[in-house]
Amino acid sequence: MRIILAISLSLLVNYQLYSQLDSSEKVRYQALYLEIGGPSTITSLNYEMGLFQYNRLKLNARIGVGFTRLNDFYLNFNPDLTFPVGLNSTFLLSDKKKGTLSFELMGGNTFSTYIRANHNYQPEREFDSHGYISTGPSWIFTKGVYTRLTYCLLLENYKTPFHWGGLSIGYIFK
Amino acid sequence: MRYLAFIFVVLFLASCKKHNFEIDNLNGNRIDALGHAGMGLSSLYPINSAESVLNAISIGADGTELDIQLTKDNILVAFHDENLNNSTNLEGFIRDYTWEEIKNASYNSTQYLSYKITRVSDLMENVVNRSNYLFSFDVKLYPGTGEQATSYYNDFVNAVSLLFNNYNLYSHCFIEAQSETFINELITINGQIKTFIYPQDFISGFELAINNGLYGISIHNDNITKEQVKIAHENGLYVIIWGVNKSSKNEEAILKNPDMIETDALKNLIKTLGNST
Repeated sequence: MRIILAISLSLLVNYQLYSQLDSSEKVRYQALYLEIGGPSTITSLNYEMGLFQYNRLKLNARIGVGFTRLNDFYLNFNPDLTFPVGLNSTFLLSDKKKGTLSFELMGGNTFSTYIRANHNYQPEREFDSHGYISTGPSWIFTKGVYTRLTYCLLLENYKTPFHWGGLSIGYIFK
Repeated sequence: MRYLAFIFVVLFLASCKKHNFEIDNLNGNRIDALGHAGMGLSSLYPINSAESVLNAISIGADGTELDIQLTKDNILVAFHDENLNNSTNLEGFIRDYTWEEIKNASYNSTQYLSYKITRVSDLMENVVNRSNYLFSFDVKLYPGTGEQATSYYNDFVNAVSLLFNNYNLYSHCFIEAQSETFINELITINGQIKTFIYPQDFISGFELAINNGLYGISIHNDNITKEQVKIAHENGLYVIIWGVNKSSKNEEAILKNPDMIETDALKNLIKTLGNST
């Protein structure tokens, strides 16, 4: 329960902070990256776009798709998928010639769908949703290559916590 | 560039290597490839789950080993650990729950994938062409200390015998157990079931198997040699080798000529044996 409150608070703080900003400060920022681990657990391909920027602070929205397995237990194409969505707040720590170092705080949901055996042992699709918060440093090279290392706290079905990690590699389009 | 091409050619040839094992055993000179509790420990499916077993069969395994335990109401379920704490969302022991209480428990070994505990009779009922596959039931005895413990072995033996009778499992299913007492009780009430002793070392297992007229020995790969497998075969005992957790161990186990191998590297074993049989 405390963890859910923490997520809610984090999102609320982000919302309060950024909602006060003038809409003219919207930032043109788009990123496409592959995340190994992270809120989708195994791997996911993500799109992130900038919403607001204020001095060193930036708020991005993220949506992704990941999979854990492509075929079901009878080997038919029937993928287990995850869809991480969330808000990502970044704070610029340093801006150097070789790139920029930021600290990131993220929170959101992962929607998952997977195949399990029903009572007749036939494949049956299940749908779940989970919460996550994650945090860690990111480094953007001047040529736009984006890297990030995160610690993630996953909340399976919003109640069972898992400590996890994530490594992201991608490209920034401005 | 030429060196690179050479390396590619060598790697390609290595991947095409043919395995020509000369298998000599009691099983018609073929080794059956069984999964370790389904797809084994390295799979995302939890061991002993229905999904893991069905996946093992689907990829071409000859069958699978399955760990079996007894619930409070004498239902056989497929589960490995002594307690439920580490791998499910329940706590305590299988023997302290009825099937109704346990059937909605979920494995928690893989995030976001919530698989259920398997009732063995459900598996026997729902596997298509079940008699084409081998099932080796590894009996996990956790009697506890309470009142229930006194009748535990007897209840377990009766549950196993009932399962074999209800689904006519005699031709393609086996029992593996560490306990001589359990095996003797089982043989007493149902002599048709093929039983394997699961010893710590070959010598003790061999003596037990011979003295009790068992079907064979189920033993860890590290605890048996090729020569000992031969001795078992010469005395009419089948041999199952387990504790095979990677591809290189598959080959090591095959070279000992057992009748069955239970492996975690199932795809590799199927592929390797497919080349030789």
